[in-house]
Amino acid sequence: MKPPAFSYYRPESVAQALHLLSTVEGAKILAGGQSLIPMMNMRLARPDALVDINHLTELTSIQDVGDALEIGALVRHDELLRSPLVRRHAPLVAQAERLIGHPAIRSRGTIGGSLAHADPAAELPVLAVLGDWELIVSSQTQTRTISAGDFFLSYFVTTLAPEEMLLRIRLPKVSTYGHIAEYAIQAGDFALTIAATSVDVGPSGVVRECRIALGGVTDVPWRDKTIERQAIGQVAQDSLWKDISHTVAEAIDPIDDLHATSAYRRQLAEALLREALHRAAQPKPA
Amino acid sequence: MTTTKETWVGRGIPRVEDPRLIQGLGEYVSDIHFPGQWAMALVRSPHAHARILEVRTDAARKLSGVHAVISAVDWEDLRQPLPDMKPLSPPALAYERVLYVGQPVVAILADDRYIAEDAADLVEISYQPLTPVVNVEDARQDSVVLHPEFGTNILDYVNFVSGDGQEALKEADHVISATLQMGRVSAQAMEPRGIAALFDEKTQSLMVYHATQSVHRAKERISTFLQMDPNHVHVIAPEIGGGFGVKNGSYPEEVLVSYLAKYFAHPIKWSGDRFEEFLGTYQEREQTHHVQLGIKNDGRIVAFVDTYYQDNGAYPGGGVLVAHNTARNLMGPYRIPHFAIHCYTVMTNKVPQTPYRGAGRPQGHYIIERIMDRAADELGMDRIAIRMKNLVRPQDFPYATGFPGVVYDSGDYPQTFQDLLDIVDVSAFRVRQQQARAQGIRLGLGLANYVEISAGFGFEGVHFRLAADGRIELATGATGQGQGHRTALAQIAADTFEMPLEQIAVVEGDTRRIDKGIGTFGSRTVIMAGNAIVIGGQEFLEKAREAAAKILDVKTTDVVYHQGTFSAPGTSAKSLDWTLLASELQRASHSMPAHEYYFYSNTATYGFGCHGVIVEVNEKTSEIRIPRYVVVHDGGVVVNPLLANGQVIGGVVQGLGSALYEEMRFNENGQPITTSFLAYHLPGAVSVPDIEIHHRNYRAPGNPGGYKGVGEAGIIPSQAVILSAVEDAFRDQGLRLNYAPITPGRLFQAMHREEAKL
Repeated sequence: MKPPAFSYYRPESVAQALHLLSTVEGAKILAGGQSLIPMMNMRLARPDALVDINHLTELTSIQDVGDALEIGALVRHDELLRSPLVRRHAPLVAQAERLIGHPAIRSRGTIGGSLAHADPAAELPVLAVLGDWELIVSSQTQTRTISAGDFFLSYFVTTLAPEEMLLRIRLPKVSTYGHIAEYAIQAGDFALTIAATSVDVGPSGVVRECRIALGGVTDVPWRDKTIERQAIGQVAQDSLWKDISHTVAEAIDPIDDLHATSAYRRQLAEALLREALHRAAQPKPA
Repeated sequence: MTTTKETWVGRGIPRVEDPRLIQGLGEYVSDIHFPGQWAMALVRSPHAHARILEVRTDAARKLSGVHAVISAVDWEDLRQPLPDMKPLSPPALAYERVLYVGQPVVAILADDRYIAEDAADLVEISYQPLTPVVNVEDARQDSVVLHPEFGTNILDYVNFVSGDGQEALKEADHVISATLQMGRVSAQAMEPRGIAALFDEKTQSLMVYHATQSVHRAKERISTFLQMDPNHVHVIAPEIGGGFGVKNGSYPEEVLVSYLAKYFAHPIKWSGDRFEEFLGTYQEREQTHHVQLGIKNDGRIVAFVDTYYQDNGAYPGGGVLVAHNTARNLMGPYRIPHFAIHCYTVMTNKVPQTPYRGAGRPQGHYIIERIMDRAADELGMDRIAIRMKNLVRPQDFPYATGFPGVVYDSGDYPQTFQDLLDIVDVSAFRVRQQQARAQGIRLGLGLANYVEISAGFGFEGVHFRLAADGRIELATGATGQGQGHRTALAQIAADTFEMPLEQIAVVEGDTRRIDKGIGTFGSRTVIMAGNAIVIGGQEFLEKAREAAAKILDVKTTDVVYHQGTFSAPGTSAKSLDWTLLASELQRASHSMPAHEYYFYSNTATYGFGCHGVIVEVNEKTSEIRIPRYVVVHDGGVVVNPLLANGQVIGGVVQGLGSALYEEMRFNENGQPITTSFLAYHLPGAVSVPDIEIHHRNYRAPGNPGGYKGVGEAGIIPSQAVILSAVEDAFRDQGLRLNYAPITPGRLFQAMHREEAKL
C-alpha cells in the first residue's frame, strides 16, 4: 500500500494552481487527501502529479455574502461543524458534519474535496443537491458557476474538467428547517442510505416548501422536484410524510451491493425519509 | 508466605507494559531498521485457481533501486514446502499453479517498499485460469481436485461417537434438525504480520525479528527450511500488536525473508500491509453444520448428531485443528448421553484457515446453543428451561463428556446460569419487552452457556536468573501480543519470592533466553508459564539458598529465606537480600543462581460461564443495537482481574464483530471482495456496549496455581447469543436465523423472507 511515484507541486496562489492544472499532464488536486491518498496507496488512483492546495489561504474562508454563505473549497469539515455562520444559515450542514467520518477525518477533509470526489454515499453532495448549492469553478481561462444539480454525473464523476478547480461553494441561506437521517453499519462509515429534507410549514400548518434528497441509492444524489411539489399546500402531518416517503421509495431504483440489496435500500430510504420529513416539520423552539 | 501479607495475585494492578506503550516507545517489527536493509514486497496471485505459464521479471529487475526479483521458476530452493503444513504444504513461492488469491508468486527486494511495489507492478505473469472451487458443496464432489496428488478435496475426515451414537435418535420423542452456518472472518490485528532478518556471515547465524506468537516454533521452521543448525537461528518477538492465533502458524513470508537474508547476506524486512492482511493472513470460522438433536418430551437431550464441513481454503493452515476442536466443543456444558459427529475439512480455492481466537470453541457452542433454542421453540418450551434441564450438575463432576480426554471438573453450571438470569432479571425484562413492543420497539434476550477448555497439552517453561542488580529475571517462550504477561507473570513470581513486583523482570519472546517454548495461544500462558513459576520458583530459591550459604559461609540447610531475605538463624552470619547476594556473588566471582523449569501438563482446565445479551432491533433499518451485555465467567484463580476483564471484554467485542458485522466474502470466481475496512466492518467504539463482567473463581483442580484460561471466554458464545436474541425479538413471527453474522442486510432478508442473496 505505497503509491507509485508522482510529482508534487505546492502552489502559493490560486492563479499558480490553475496554471499548474492547465500545464502539468495528469495532475490531480490534493486537498484534505482523505479519499485520494488511500486510493493512491491502494494504487487505484495513479496521478502523475499532485497539486497541493493546502496552503491556499484564499480558499479557507466562510463569508456571509447577503443571501448566501460563500465557503472556500479548502474549509475543513471540522470548521463547518463549529462555524457560527454555518450553524446559523446552514444548520443542516452542521448537523450532517457529525455523521461524517471521525474527528481525524474531519480535521483534514474539506468541503471542496468531498464535493469534487462525488461519492454518492457522502453527505455533502446530498446536501448540495438538496440546497441548490452553486459551485464556483475556475480554470486559467474562465470561471463558471455550476448548480449542484448539474454537477454530479455518476459515481466519482463530475462536470469538472481536468484543468478546472472548485474554488468556492455558495450556499443559499435557509430559513426552513431541515433534517438528515442516515444508516451506516458502523458510526463514521459511509452510509448505506442517506435522506435529507428541508420543509417550510406556514402558520396554518400547510406545507409551503418541501425538498427531498437521497444519498447512497443511485450513482448521484437523488432528487425529484415533481414529488416534492405534491406536498405543497397539504397539511404537514405524519400521514403526508408517510405517503411522500412511500412515493419516493416507489420512484427510486436503488443500487444492489455487498451490504444491501435494492429492496433493503428502498426500505431504508422510505424509513429514513419519513423520519427526516417528520423531524424537519416539527415546530422548533425560537 | 505469611498469612497476613497481601498477595500480588488477585490484584488488578495496571500493566507494567503500559508506560512504554502509551508513550509510543514500544518497538515493533516495523520499528526495526537494520542499516541498509532491503524491503520485500510480494507479487500475489490475482487468480483463485490457475496454472502459471510464464513469469517475466526483466522490466522489474531493471528498475533502479531493485536488488532482486525472485520466482521459484528459477529458484528451486524456494519450491520447498513450508514446514508444519503437512500433508499438503505449499511451496514458499508458487511456481506451477496458484490455489488462492493472494498466494505469493514473486518476491521483490528493493531499497524501500515504494520501489518494491513499483517493481511488483512491472512483473508480468501469464496464467491459465482453472475452474475455481469456492464452496464446500462443489468441493466435496471432487469434480475439480485442487491437489491431484492428494486425490480429493477432503483434507480430513474424522468421526466421534459416544454411547449409541446416531442410533439413539430412535429413543427421542422429537428430532430437531437444522442447517447452521458461519461465515469466514479475518482476525485483523492492529499490527499486520511482519518479519525482519539479519544474517551474520562471521558467526553464520541468523537473527530474526518476528511478529510471532511462538518464537521457538518459528525458529524450528526457519532452521528446517534453511537447513541450518537451529543453534544458529535466533528469533526475537518484539512488541506485537495483537495475535489472536493467526500469527502462530507457518507462512511463506517467514521463510522467504529468512532465506533471502541469508542468501544475500543482507538484512531484509517485510512489513505486511492491511491489504496483505486481508489477502494472505489465514482466516477462520467458515463451516456448515447439518445437525439433529433428539429430545424427550420433557426437554431432556437424548442424542446429538452433526455432520459438518469446514471450508478450509487451499492448504491445511491450521484448519484441521479448528475442525477437531469444534467437535470437542459441540457438547457445551450439557449432558449429552449419545452423540455422533462427522467432521470434514474440505479444501477450496481460498486462503487457508488457521485457529483464530476461540478456534472451534465458538463454532461448537454456536451449534449446540442454537439447536437448543430451536428445540425449545419447536417443543413450545422455554429456552431457559431446556438449558437448566440439561446442564451438567455439580454432583456430576468429574464429568466425562464422551469426547476423548474431556472431563469437566469444577464449578456450578446451573447456579452460575441462575446468577446470570437474576442479574439480567429475566422476568422484569419480559415485562419491558412487552411494553416496548406496544411502542413499536423490538427487544430480544439471548442467553447461552459455555465451557472454555484451555491448555491440556505440551509444556511451557521459565528460565530464572538473578540479575547483577539483584532483580530476578524470568524468561519465557510464551510470547505475549498485548495480554500483559510481563505484569501477570511478575505478580505470580512476586508472590512466589515474597518480593515487590518491581524486583521481578519478565523477558518474553527471545530464543536466546530460554531453550524451549511452545508459545502463547489458546489461553494457555498463565496456566503453563504461571505454574512453571510456582513450581520452578521453589527450585530456583533452593539454588539461591545454596548461593547464599556460600556467601554466608554456612550450610545450605541453615539458610532460611523469608520475604526477600536470606538469613541463618542461630549462626553469627549476617543476612542478605537479593541485591546484596548478587553483588557478593559477583565480588566472589561465583556464578549467579539460575534455573530453568518446564511445566508439563496434559490436564486441560475447564473455565465456564454464560452470556446474556439484550438487543434492540429497528425493524425499519434492520439495525441491531445492544443496550446490555452481561458475562458471568469462571476463570479459576484470577491473577489480575484488570487483565482478565480486558481479555473478556476484548473477546466479547471480537465476538460481536463475527456475530453482527464481520465476514470475508468471495465472489463466484473466488475473488475476495471484502479486502478493506470499507467493506469488512469491525465493531466500532460507538456500537460496543459497556460489558458487565461477574467473576466466579472456582479453583482449577488440575494445576498447582488453580489457574484457568480467560482469553476466549468473551468470544465463545457470542454468535450464538446474538442470533438467539435477535430471534427472540421476533418471536411472534417465528424468525429463524441460520447464518452468522446476522448483518443488517441479512436481517432485512430474513424479516422479508427474501431469498438469500447477501
